[in-house]
Amino acid sequence: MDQRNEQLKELLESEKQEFLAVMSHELRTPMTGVKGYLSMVLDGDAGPISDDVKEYVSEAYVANDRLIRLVDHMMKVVAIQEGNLRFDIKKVDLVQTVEMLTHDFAEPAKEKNLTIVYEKPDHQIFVSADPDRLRELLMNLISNAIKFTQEGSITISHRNINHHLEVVDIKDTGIGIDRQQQSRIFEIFSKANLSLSGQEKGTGLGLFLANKFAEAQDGKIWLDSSEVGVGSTFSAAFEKVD
Amino acid sequence: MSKILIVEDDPVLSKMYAKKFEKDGFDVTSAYDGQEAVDKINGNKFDVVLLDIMLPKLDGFAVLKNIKENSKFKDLPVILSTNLGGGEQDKTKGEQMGAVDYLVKSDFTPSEIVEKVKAHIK
Repeated sequence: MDQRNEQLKELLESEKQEFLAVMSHELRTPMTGVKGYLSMVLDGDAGPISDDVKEYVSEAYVANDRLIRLVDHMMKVVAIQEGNLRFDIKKVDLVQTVEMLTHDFAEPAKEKNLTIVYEKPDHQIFVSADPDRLRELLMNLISNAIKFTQEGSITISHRNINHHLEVVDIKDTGIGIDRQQQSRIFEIFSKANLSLSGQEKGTGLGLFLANKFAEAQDGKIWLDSSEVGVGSTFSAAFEKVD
Repeated sequence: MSKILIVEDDPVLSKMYAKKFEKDGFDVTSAYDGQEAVDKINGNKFDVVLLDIMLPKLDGFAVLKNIKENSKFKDLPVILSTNLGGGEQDKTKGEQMGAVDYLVKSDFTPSEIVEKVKAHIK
């Protein structure tokens, strides 16, 4: 009986994964159509548009992009759970990676009147990681910092632990995370994320994925400190290589 | 005027990309499955092909293989497009087979795709 239950459980699990994978693909196609046509209206391809139309269509475009991001995250969760996400571990220039990200996020931060401060070290730092996944992981942490900060700044700095671990700290002056929720933020569809409202609501998958990405690269991410109304510091550590 | 073959089985996306490329001055031909794509490539002279991966009859990789095996078309730039997940294996496979670019459709607006395609036309 136990064995049958176990088999049934495995079958259900694989059906679920298959269902999610197919759904993700089927959802993306119509969303691509929505994104494309909305962008063409905004480009003026269908003729001149008023400021009101531009505003409404832009809102629809942003909402649709959020849906696309959610599906994208779902697909990655499925890939990770199926063990289908490959990691190409090599020597990565950490300072260059962070510098490029700081540059990429300068504009979104400026739109919210926030400043990004990068305390760039005066020496090179190399770590062992998959360059794309490392970038994605840090991108996730920085974009969260911007998303959850209404005023002030995001400060990114480096430190070294025991000579062999290189840590990137991302400190914001945002809303902070309630103490009771802190232990749950890396869980899938974590309540700490889903209980947020309006603009600040994320997909509930970003930190879960970032954590899985870190683990798969023998790295680690954690919430270093957080206080409601003061801000949070997230840290990511990777093995140093010479 | 550059000639593009858009291979896309979804009618909404096919029409959308055709409109955008035409607006940008391209001469657009559409194919809705892999076999139709191969037939049209054999009967025409295109400057570039935008090729979906998941297609009826022949998939995008089979079409790409067909193009690259024919010495007449080996320099024809092919850009793979997809909305499938787990894209890295597909990306590597496409590059090894001779595709010049690989893009996830939902990541780009039609005008961004036009720019990407233009970059590959000699």
